[in-house]
Amino acid sequence: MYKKHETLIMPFTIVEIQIRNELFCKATHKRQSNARLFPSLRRTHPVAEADLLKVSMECVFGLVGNGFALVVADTSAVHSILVHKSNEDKIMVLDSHKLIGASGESGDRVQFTEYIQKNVHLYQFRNGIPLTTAAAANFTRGELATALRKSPYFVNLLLAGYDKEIGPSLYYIDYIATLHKIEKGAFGYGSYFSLAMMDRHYHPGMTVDEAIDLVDKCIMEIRSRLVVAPPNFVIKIVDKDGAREYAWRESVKDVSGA
Amino acid sequence: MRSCSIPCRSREQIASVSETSRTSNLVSLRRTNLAFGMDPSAIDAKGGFSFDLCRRNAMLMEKGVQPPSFRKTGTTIVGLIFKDGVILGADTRATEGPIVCDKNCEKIHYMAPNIYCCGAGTAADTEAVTEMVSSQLQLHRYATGRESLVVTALTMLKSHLFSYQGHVSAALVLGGVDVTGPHLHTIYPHGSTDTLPFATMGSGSLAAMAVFEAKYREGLTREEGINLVTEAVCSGIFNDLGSGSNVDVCVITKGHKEYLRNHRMPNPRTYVSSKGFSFAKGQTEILSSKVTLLKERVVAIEGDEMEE
Amino acid sequence: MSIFEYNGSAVVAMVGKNCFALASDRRLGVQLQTLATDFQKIYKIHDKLYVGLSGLATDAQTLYQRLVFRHKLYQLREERGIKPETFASLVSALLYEKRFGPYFCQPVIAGLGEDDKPFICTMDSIGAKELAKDFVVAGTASESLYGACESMYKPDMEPEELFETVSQALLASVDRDCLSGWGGHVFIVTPSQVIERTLKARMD
Repeated sequence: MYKKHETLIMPFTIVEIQIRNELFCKATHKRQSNARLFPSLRRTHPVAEADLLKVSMECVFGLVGNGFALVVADTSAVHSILVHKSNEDKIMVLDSHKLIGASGESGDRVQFTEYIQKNVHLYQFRNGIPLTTAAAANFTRGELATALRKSPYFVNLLLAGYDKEIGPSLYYIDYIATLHKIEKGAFGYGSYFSLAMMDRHYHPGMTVDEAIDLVDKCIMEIRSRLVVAPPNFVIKIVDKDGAREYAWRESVKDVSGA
Repeated sequence: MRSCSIPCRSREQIASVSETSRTSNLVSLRRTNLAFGMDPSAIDAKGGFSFDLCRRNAMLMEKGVQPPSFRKTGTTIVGLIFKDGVILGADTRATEGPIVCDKNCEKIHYMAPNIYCCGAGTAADTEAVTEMVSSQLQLHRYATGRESLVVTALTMLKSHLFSYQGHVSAALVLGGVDVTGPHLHTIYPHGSTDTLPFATMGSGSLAAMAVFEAKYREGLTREEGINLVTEAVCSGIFNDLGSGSNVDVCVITKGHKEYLRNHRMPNPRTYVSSKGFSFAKGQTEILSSKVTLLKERVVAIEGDEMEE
Repeated sequence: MSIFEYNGSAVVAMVGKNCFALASDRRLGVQLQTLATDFQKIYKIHDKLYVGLSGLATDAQTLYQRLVFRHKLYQLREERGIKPETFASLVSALLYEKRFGPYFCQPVIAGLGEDDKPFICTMDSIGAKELAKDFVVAGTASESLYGACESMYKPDMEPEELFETVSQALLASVDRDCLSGWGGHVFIVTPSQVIERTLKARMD
């Protein structure tokens, strides 16, 4: 092993590698990891390894502001090099005061988030009180962790919620069921840009206007710097008045008109 | 004499987890029941291995992560029969890859009052397997009221190891004195065994065996035996990189045993400064500090204080 | 990449005079991307027993939940907290049960036993116990921690000196590890009090 200096690699080169490799894999009808196709990648480009552990082309991110939490997601349904849909809503309203933004394999995403949603509702019906955001996050993690040991769901989640006593909160849950409470977080290739943007401009106690401004900055950065940038985004908010859709940021109207 | 050696070439699907089914295909078949119930498998009273993480781990491996390295005892363990009984010896180094993770571990495990067992291989396996068998022996003694036999321990160990086809990687030197006299056995991870007057195991076994082959003879005295065992283990310590630190010795004779922990310490620490490091108080920058006072434990004194 | 390097961690426990220290870094990352710098790696089992879990974060969380569950059952049955030695055996058994499909997690257990005698112990991911009288380490920075602790440790340190020593060893070690660091978290447990401190560290 050589002593080495970790170097910064421009993310779009990684994306290119990813796309190239995916095409290779598709061509051979085999799901192979980059490492096996290009063994040298593992040593020279540590960041490129990221896709070994499921970095998707989707962009989901969120942040907590003063009295509210935001979740933003792209709305592209992509398979291989084809875009099937550009108005796919990837943020589910879990209950009156919870949002769950998900990225990952689309079947798993829908199946798992619905499963969580129904269980959160069931709890409320049975007990007459809703789960707190923390409880819902821990429940979700538990389900993901149990599934992981049987047949895993490939879904990364951002769970935002508002509780009367606690205020707004945001939880990061990745597909291997790592749970962490965060102020700002992101998944997918978009995370390289949106995390950097939020690191620079985020501060605790942002107003809605400031936060939306930051979200727009993030979207702008993704659109202008990411090769496989999705065209449209949906922004949802949760605060004391409940969880709801806030706005869309569209640059392409869906062709199907659905 | 070779008591019972079972060659086992077939390393078959004891822990084979090469699931071919892709997870995404299974989505629609998955659970329909709702959660919020307690998992009944949370405590399994039956014991035994649990394989429920295998599939997930296989998935991670497939993605290119390497499986973890376990703590091994790259080891020199030896044993010999002398005039009055058996002497076992071991080094005390535990390694994890090239790193020494324990400089003074114990590799001579208790099996029964009259039986001890040296372990080499994956540390968790040697520890678990000897612990399991020693508890079975204890129960057996309670049931029969008799001293355990070395062959009983031998059979239990080998049948356990054989049933796991070498996946439980414990290489053992088993020694003891029972009603039928002194016994020394070696047990390989696949479950084969040897009965020998002198034996060595582990990565330092060749170095140690060289000493035994040159100097072992029948009817050694206790003193000579201990010295030979120590010399054999030292040969492993100094010539095998997987073995190191100190020499542990265990002498078992009829109705008596003596565990000589760190019998010889040929590698004392010399590089530590006599003054040591000292840091001024408050040198480390602190962001926050929280002090929680613990309650004194109230001890109830028994007695007849409330006499009327 | 080893699976232990996915999230990055550094955990160390050290024994002092009638006290012990348990310290960890605070980074939660996904390989080279840092997600958070306030991640908890040291968990309380009871007042005088703590466990630091290094390795894959998800398994650390799952394992912690199982440990808490088992400890609560123990408390119900025995009406007392578990002894550190017993707890170490429990952890070891839980890990060895999954010998052929392990939790990717290396625990460090530290506690005050009977007569407030400090006890520290670490294990590999399949439960091979390593008991030590001085210090134990785990995580991606374990190699540097071995070196730092080996030279900085002295027997019978008082709580405050122990804090300085363990903190300096931790900070020195994580500086040589890309995957851990970004702050430190130290517990000093004495028979009468628990001191919990967060450390200022390099953020690179």
